[in-house]
Amino acid sequence: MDKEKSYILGLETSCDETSAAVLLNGKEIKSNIISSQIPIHRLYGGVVPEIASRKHLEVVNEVIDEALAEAQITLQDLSAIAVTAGPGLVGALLIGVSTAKALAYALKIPLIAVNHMAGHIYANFLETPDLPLPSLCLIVSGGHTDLVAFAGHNDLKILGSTRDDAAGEAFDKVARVLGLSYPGGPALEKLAQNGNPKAFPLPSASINENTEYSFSGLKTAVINLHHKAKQKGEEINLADLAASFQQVVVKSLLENVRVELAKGGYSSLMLAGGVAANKVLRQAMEELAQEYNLPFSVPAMILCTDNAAMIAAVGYAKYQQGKFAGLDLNAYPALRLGQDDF
Amino acid sequence: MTLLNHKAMLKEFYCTEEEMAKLAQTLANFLPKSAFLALDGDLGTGKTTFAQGLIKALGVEEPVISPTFNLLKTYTGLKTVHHLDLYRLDHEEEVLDLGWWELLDDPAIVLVEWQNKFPDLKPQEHLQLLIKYHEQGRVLQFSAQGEIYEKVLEELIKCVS
Repeated sequence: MDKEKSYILGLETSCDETSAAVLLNGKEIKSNIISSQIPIHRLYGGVVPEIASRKHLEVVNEVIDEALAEAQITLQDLSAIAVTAGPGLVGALLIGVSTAKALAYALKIPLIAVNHMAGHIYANFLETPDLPLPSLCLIVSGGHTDLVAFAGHNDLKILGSTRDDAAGEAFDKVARVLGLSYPGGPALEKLAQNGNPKAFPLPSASINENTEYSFSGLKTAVINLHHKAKQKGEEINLADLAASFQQVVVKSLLENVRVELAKGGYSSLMLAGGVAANKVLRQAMEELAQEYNLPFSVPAMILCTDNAAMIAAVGYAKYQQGKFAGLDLNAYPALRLGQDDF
Repeated sequence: MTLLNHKAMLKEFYCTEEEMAKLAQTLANFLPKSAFLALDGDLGTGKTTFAQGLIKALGVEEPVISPTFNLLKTYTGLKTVHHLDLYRLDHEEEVLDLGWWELLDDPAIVLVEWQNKFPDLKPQEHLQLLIKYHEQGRVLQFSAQGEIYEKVLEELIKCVS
């Protein structure tokens, strides 16, 4: 084995997904195994898996083995192990953290603790390694909506977050009310393609002078519209409602981004998180970046969902800086961006 | 199986969304540090808004966000609160995997949104709030089971009327 090479094993078990990835020299993804994307019978012998922590325990070793096999390396080739230490479910996080600690101890290699949300941002550096900094990053997923200023490694700051529901959650819940199947986000986007985005006036989700978000009121407004039409026996054009809702979500998300960009000082714009799959949002962000003459980055879809390659990407940055965690590392369910000191 | 020796105590409040937040704050004062509150109602009725009012009233300064995707969030203020949401879960095993019984044993207020998806997992003694839409706002239906929760509800009624 070439001593110059660094293989980082990333581990992610913060919520629904169990994932392990091998990253070579900080940029080449040799493998990125995500449990929900492996045929069920291979992992569970036919038993249908369930959400939450025990599932992680059942599959974590299998997922690591797959990641190593696909990368065509063995445990002995690893340079360090990077693991999500928070935020997330404590029971789920502990499985990743304990596994990583045991491996680091047995292999006598460094253990690196990673903030899951930093992982979402760093997914962009796997896609666009030379993205100029400082960068403004919008992270949108089922559980998070954060606007983050990223000046460099260990130098990031949350500028605004949601006060109630995350953008992805609003998508899923509105989709359910409109009678769409799970996962609601993609189904709603498809329905909205044939709708008029100006058909229904809906309240903005950008609040507090464009520093924060609140998607709860918007969600309730759509539900009320749908409910009232049903009560009166009126036909409501679901495609129009879906398009109007999506339009307001995207417009609200961008409003805060625009206000921040106008302040100046940014050299690039990033989008991250599962909702980055939404084409209307991607396009609107790209156009906004063009307007400000900034390079724009959004990760490949597989890197937008919860995955371990993004954790390994943060791990590599910390590996280079020698920022290692002790074997007494704990799980931090309420970890906030910019507050960790691992 | 234990037989229930008396029926649950019931009370309905009609309120606007602002009044709902106030009611949540008042309830926070009366709940003991170990308590179970089920929060039920359709999408958009205000379960999370009610939980926010209650948790904020306990002196928690960090933002209280919807736990739908993250499933569980713990807050520490004057009392500890475990805020759960079972919306995404479909199997009892998934709820138990969250450490359900351990959470219920904790000296903490356990707030559970969408508890009615798993009625069998509710402790025998509890407070339940069902929020429904109403023309002028919301109807809040409280149901108290057990002496402690009946007292809490009595205090709440005294305070509001």
